[in-house]
Amino acid sequence: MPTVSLLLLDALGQALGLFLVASGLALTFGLLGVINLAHGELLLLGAYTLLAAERAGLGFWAGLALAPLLVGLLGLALELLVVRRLRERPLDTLLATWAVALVIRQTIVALFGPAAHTVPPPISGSVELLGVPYPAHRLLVMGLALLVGGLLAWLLLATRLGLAIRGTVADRTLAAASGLAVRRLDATAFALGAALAGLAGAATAPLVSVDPQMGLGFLLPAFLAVLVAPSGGAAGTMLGAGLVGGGESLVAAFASPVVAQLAVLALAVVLLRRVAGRRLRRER
Amino acid sequence: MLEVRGLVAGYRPGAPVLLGVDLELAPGRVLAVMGRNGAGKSTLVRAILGLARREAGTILLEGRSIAGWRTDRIVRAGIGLVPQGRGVFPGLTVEENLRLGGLGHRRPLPAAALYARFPVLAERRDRDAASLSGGEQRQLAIARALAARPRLLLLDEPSEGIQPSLVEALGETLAELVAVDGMALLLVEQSLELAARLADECLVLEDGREVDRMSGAVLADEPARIERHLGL
Repeated sequence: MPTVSLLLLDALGQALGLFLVASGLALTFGLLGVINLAHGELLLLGAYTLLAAERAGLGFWAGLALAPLLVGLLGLALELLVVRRLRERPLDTLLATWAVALVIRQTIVALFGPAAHTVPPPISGSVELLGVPYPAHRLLVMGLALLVGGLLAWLLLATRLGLAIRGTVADRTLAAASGLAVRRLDATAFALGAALAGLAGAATAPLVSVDPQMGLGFLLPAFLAVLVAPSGGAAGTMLGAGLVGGGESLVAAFASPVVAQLAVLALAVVLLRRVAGRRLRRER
Repeated sequence: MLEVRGLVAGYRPGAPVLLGVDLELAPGRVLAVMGRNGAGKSTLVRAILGLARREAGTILLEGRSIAGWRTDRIVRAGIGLVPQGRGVFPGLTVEENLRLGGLGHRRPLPAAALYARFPVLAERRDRDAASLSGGEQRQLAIARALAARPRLLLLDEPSEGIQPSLVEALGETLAELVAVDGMALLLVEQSLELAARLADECLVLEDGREVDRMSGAVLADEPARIERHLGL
């Protein structure tokens, strides 16, 4: 029984952690349709913001608050200077954001070095849950993911900004012809997506090894979670993250982590073929 | 209210669809724009709203040049659009469509006022707009545009694809907007029935140019003249 509890908690933790990473992508890719290959590096920046805050003596909580703020501002600049200019050219957007990712990664290497760093969790110890002791910081990240999910759902479903974003996603031209400043909405949603990536990076930093490559490992599962999501909103992304993150965790437990990663890769190939096929049919 | 002079516009540089169109529209008046498919009628509507590329000419709204403005700014200045096709936001409820129509504006028309004018929408307020019938979607598209309290409404083929009995009701609604609210309408139409009922003046386009212009009375009394242009 303790083993089952631990398996379930790990799967839930993995799913919610992935949701935290994918929630920003749900806005930029799921809703706006921008394939931002720098999303992993925005997450990386969040983690290093936390590391820098720790080193500066500001502590974990100040770092956690600063990360989404700084990364959100960088996301705003990225949208205004790069993404906006390539809106009708998805392949160019892909290449440009990949270039931005390289620049961010190399800047991190220049500033912090190529080695991995560890960040101590703000709360140590464990909490008894389902009959097993579970690390308190993992539970904190799970709680944060649920909070972000709730806030994102509220933003999209119950606010004027959310309605405007959903309208722009449904029909961009009609949204502009209804008086909505669609470019400003694009920038706002992109900056928000980047801020969520920054928050995810800072929150998960104590759970992983913080190194310049950490963003890459998050990127593919996060894109998959958004792709399998039945809808672009918070609930859909939560379900997508549950399928990909929770599934990967269970496969890793019953088979091996390598098999789990191969399963994720196979799922990616199937989904990308489906998405590409849909796009081709639409273009015909 | 609206004055367009020498408008040359299209979608690709150097390949204009409109080749110098002039028109004037005063408050409380209806201008019908008619012509065959590909004549440039929808491009004219899109160019006024900044959705097509303007290469030459002027567009004045209440004496102010709006050429080069962003679409949302033009709409906020007082022009509403009922586009060709569905004209609603799919995936959003009727109520959300109406709220969106007034979202970018300072004094939007309350939903209650819109429901009073279009009672069927009140009954469907929580339904996905995409699930409405063609006639209901057209009513929603007009109501959404009215939410912004426009002084000029551009309607692109509003009677297309809806039943003849609904075209009659649509005509009544539009006539009321002009007579009661003093709104100006620019009505792009292929249906002679609706245009003849509402128009004070009719502009006929062919291959991006004006080929005829007649009063609403002539349009209603001498249908053969417009039918010749439409190839009927």
